[in-house]
Amino acid sequence: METIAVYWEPKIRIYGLTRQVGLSLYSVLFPAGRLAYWGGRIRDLAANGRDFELVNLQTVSAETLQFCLLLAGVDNETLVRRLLEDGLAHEDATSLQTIAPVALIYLHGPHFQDRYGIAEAALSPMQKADIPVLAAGCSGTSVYIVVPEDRLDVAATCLAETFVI
Amino acid sequence: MKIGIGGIRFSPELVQYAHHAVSPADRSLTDLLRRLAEHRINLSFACTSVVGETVHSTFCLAAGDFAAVEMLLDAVPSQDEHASCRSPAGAGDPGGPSLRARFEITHRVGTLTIFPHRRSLLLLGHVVETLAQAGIAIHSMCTSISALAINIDYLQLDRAVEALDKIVELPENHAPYRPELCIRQIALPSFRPNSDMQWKQ
Repeated sequence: METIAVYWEPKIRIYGLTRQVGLSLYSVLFPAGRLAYWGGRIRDLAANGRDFELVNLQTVSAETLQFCLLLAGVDNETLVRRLLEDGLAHEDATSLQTIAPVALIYLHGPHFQDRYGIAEAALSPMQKADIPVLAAGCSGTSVYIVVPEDRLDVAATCLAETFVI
Repeated sequence: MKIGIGGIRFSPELVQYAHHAVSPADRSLTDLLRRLAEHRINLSFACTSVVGETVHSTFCLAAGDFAAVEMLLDAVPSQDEHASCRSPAGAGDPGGPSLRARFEITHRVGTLTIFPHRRSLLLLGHVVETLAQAGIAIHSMCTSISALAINIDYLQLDRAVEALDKIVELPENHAPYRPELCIRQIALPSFRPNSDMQWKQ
């Protein structure tokens, strides 16, 4: 059975635009063959009672993966860095980058996973406004964007021009 | 002890595109995203992150849209796009390569969606470690408000669930992993909504 439905809106509707500040963004580059090891290191971070705000992983070359972890708080940065840096000590092809403080702005919308143009609507205004997107994720009905904390207001203004609650 | 979760879903077959921009002025990704939107092609997954000066981006779309995207990638960039898509490799030079040169393509990808994640590093770490130990390569991954979306080889989806069975517990009445509905965009060239219209069926 096939059902055809047409939905049109002058501006993309969302359920809300949420901001979060005081976050740290950790990016680890490591050999693809070490994925199991880094899964274990991330599990170890949980032992310190931490949750994540956003995670993404990408293949950046044939042999290299990049794990990106957005965690709340900048005060425990030393502890997290120490846990991750344990993994760096024995691997030449591994590096860790930390950016803090950063801010997260996220939104959710109806059937975003099935609609075209959502990622473009969220990311293009950022580039036009020269706002560096440090990390982003669009999956399911969610769009998450990480920006430098001092660019959060401009980013929110950009998104408010594109989306409507 | 297993970690209780609400469910696991498989996507239909997808194609993954990876892009690496070495300059903030590089607009080849946003150019393609704009073209995809203009042609009503949905991205089921997208993520981006910065390492040093390089912006790494990955997105996935339905395998059925591959032919249409091929045509968009082969299209010659406009003059503005030429100016904005120059890279050290020379891609985007006037008369030079099309957008295609900027994207690495992986065929036969499937998204394994695990929900809810409850923002748990324990679940995340276990899942990544287990898949890797089973020899299942993760092409990309991203979290939404409630789910882990993990892109692996489409033909490995069933094997991934078998591996994860060691660490996660599914509800007894779990729904089928594979989607029972297929949603696709249709072309409606004559459709012109008026200003009052919100829904039309």
